[in-house]
Amino acid sequence: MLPSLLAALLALLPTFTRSQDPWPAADAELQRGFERLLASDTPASRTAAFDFLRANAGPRHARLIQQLMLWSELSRDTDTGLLPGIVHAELALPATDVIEALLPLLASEEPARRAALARVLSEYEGHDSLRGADFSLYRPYLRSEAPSALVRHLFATDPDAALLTLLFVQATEPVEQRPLLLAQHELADLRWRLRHGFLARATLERDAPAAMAALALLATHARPWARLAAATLAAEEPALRGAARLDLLATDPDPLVRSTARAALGTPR
Amino acid sequence: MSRTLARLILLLAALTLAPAIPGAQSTRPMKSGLTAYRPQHGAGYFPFRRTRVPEALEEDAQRGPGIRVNGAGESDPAGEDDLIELEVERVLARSSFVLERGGAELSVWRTRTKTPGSELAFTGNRSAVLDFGAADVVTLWVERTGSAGGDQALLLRALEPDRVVDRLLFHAFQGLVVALGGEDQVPGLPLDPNHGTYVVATELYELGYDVLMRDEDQVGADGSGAVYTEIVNAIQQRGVSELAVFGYSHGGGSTHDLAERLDLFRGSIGSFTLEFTSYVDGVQNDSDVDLDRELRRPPASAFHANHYQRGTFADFFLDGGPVPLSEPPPSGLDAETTAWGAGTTHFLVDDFGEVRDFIQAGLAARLAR
Repeated sequence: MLPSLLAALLALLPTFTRSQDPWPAADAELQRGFERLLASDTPASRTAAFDFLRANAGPRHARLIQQLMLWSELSRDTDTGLLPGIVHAELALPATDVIEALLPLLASEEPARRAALARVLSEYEGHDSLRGADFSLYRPYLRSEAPSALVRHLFATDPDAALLTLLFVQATEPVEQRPLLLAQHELADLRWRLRHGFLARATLERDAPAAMAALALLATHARPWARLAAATLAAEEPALRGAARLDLLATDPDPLVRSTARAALGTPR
Repeated sequence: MSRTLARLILLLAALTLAPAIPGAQSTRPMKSGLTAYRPQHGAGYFPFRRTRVPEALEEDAQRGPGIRVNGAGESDPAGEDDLIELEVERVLARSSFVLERGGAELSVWRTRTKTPGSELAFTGNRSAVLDFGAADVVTLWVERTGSAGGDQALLLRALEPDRVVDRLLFHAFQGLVVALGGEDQVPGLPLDPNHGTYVVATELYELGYDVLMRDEDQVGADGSGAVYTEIVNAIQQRGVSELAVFGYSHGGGSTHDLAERLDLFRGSIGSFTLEFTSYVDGVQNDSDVDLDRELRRPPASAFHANHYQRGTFADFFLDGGPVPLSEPPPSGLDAETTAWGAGTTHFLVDDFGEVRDFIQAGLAARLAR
């Protein structure tokens, strides 16, 4: 099985080279290192396999971590599937190294790859049924111009937490922050009431006027991530397309806002 | 040749030739009349095979044909798949046939997606005469509408001579089984015999349960995701009131996360009980790289089975562990303390017949179909 996994990875190499996808090309040396680790059957051979990975991990483990994502992509069972976790634990990979290595890959246009990244990053996002996600580890990357791929990941993971994180990091002046903070609260409350059956979808616009006002504010805000918050909610709740001014957002100058709105409208991006 | 032996040979010859003699109906091959299949998934049956309900179980209120209540607010995330495939065989060449139903909650369609105009017309509870065309078998699709609960019979009646040819007893599914595999175990066909969780799921499906066989990646770290949405839909729209969830490795961790979310949001979901849960070497699933042992009991589970092994060099020290208040008491079974499981690893423990049988028997004793 293992040689076939490597062969499959190497076969994909030309594809990766041709495309603009940031996904890494297969690094045969490291991929063989993973196979040696999995096949190791003595303490000495296992130590040697880990030492090899440690020595070839690249600066801040970036090379190793990206190659582990590639390994996962073709894994088809629990032994190969859990190998990234085994390496992660044995080498005690720091959270900041993992995030730093994976953030560029979030620009992938392959939904399955982004989903795989999200399943690794969730280790550091503290997902909780009641509190939602905690994106505080991403704050350093959001301070100036937030990378579009990271913003997309945040909204895809937990749109309420995404808006809250971004407004606290970027809208630091009270005059800008307070209206956004209230709008975030109204949208999160709307989602909460829908989730728990306190609002009917058919009568949203009539029964949730504060949320409608918040949606209108966000849809026309200067910050692209605020407009993205409006487009994301409208994508979840088709009844809010009008309130979110989705037609307008479908021609937004920001590509992420535009593509989200167009996807919600079912039109080509 | 003695006269007695000659008579015996003649008798045997007569019996052998009987099917070819007009009027010798009792020795003709049995025709089944009605044949129902197990429930669909999406646009077909994947990840299960198309499975017919055995003739002997057609009127069994438990193991016979089950049918999902197709509620008006159904989300049908994989498209309309709640209709049950039904084959009707023309069992008498010169007769015409009708269907008779136990109540208006059963509808019958000529198309699996309920194409407008393809519903079979009933007067009262008797259908119009079935149109076989030139074929001997016609495929129809049965839908269960209305509220949950209760069985509904469907009969095939020949009109000349007037007699009931065959009878099915449909029970509306009250129970739902969710099976979650280990990391990178993807449900598929042919069934991988080394994916023990999916082997159990397939057996339960064949035994007449409604089963969601799912990749554990469809359960998020907070329990949300496609599987949770499907379960809530089943409770709110299909009359499902009993659940069973089991998983292996990361699927065990996801079993916990799913149970936790279902319990937290119980007040908003509706009425249900979590009758059965099980971990096999459960590993927490906060992420794909999470290797912590899953030692938390699924909240509100009425019966929790737990099997685990002790990690060693051979499996990179991966393991589950004892879970409080689990079966067998007090905290589940360390498979390595048994004759059959001694020396096993994380990658093998889900495949033992003893483990699979314990899950299947425990579930079957507690979950309504």
